[in-house]
Amino acid sequence: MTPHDADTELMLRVKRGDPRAFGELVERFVRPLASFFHRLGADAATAEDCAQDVFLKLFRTREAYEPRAKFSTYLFSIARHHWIDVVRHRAAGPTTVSSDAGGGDDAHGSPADRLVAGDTEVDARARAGEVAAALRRAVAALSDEQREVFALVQQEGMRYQEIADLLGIPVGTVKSRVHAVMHTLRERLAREGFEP
Amino acid sequence: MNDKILDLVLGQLPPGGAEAQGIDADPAARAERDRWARWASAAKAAHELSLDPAAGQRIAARVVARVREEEARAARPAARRSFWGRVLAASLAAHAVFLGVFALRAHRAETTPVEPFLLSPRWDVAAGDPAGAEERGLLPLPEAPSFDGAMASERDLVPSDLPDEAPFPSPAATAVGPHAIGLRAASPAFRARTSDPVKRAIEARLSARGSLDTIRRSLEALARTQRPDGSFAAPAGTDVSDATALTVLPFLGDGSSSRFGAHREVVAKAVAFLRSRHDAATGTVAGGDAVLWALAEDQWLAGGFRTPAENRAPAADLRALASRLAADGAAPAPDSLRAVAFAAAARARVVDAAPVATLASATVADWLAADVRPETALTRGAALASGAPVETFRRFSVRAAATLRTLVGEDGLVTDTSLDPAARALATARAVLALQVPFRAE
Repeated sequence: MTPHDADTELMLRVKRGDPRAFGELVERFVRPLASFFHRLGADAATAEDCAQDVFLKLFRTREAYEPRAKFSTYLFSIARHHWIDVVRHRAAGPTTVSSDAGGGDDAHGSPADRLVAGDTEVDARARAGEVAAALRRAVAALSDEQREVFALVQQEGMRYQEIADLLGIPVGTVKSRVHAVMHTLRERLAREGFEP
Repeated sequence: MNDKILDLVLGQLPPGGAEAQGIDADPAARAERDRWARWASAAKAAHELSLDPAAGQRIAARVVARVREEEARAARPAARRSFWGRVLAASLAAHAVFLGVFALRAHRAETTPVEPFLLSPRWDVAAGDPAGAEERGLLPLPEAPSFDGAMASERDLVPSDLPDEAPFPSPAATAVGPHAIGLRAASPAFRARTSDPVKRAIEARLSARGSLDTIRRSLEALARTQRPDGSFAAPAGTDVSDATALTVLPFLGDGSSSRFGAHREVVAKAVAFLRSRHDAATGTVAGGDAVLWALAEDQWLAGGFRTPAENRAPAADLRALASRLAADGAAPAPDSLRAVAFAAAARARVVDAAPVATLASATVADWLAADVRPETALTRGAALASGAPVETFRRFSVRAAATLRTLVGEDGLVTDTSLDPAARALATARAVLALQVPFRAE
């Protein structure tokens, strides 16, 4: 773990009062954060709002920032606690936010569409949309702990050790939870007839 | 193997590491790796949100603007707190200044002589300008009796270099009185009555050492003879009011009044008794010149310590009595008790100063040559005090004091045992009144 990575340097510049550094950090992490909240159960609008709230907390506490860990770990730690607050204070909770909504992205070609091979472009796009919807349903059916570890492990570059530090659990537990989640999802999709 | 494949797909193992190479070498493992890779990609892509390209800039701008606003809002109450803090500090400073000024003024009021507004003489003695005195709201100096020499005024009798009055060790120090309320620089006559240091100074100035001790012993003895109703016993042929007035006058001459002084209770009871008796014919307070003198003395001393409403009745009684006594219209002789009584009433602002017959130099010479007798020493001494030069009064006073002191025994009463107790007490009162002439400074 190298505390002084490029992101940490950006945050230190934010701490020193550089607003452009903050803009760079937001640009870099806004999509991973929004996706993180989306995986945890938030719909697209809520996920973006949650990402904005996380950056708000980050900027409010910028002067207290100390680079004790990798910046992404620090940022997702804020995001995780923010989601706990959201779930706690919203009567609806994660079950009310739609992870199954076949929104515009899914209907007109989400990134998943491009990853799923098909006989024709239209068929492939339709099939990818179906797979993505099935995956979101399967993720939504996970427990909070499983969904949390799934959302974190999907973050690019997030290692088991970082997840363990962030969640405060042993790294072996993280690993077993990740494997269990992936097998569970694969089995559920197989039951629905989807086999990558 | 399955766990290694999953870890490799999830990016937890290095792509070119030994595990990756082992998986790549095994066709079955490679196929499983590819399936998991498709799964991972699909799972990751399933939750990817395609935010608009400006989302980052928009969120960053919102966040920065909002935090700046919060910080500005947080700074505003601080500014308000700072403002009210300055107001509070200014208020405290102003209060401190006021308190300091107040304390300074209180200290100066305590140390600076203050002329009592009610107890100071109304005569414009200092200015000597009758017209100017009236403009200043004061009465012009009354016309002085003619005499072939300088007058022994109050200022001449009471030494100007009076010692400091504090401390005030006499019994009066513990009683309510002019000194207790800060009237330390009353008129010289008032000071001569109420201040022990001034009395001692006068005693020394007139070579009358021992007079004050004699007066003190006599007052204690006379106080013991007061009856429960406040009166004093009257010898045969003397009205009880006159006897009571003459006996209480030494206490008034010593500075006690019905409101303050070491013998306040004696005076208060006697004054109440005198005011309770009325002349059958006129309804005025009973008694003669001695009663007028005693009540006027008390009014002069205690009037300033009563409210105007409390002063109204005593003043009316005094005016009525003075009117009755002055009904004959004759000018009192300089060495008469009436002259002394009306002078006291005038000083108490009850009546105008009574006209006094001229004190001839031949008369004064006769008085100085004659033996000192208790029954005449009082009135002659008073006449000399008010109408003779200081040196003349001093000569008379020194001789009179020496003689009068010999008349009073160790028990405080005159030593003439042939007298009955009432007559003896009255004779004692006359002797003390004569001894007090210099201290009364009429």
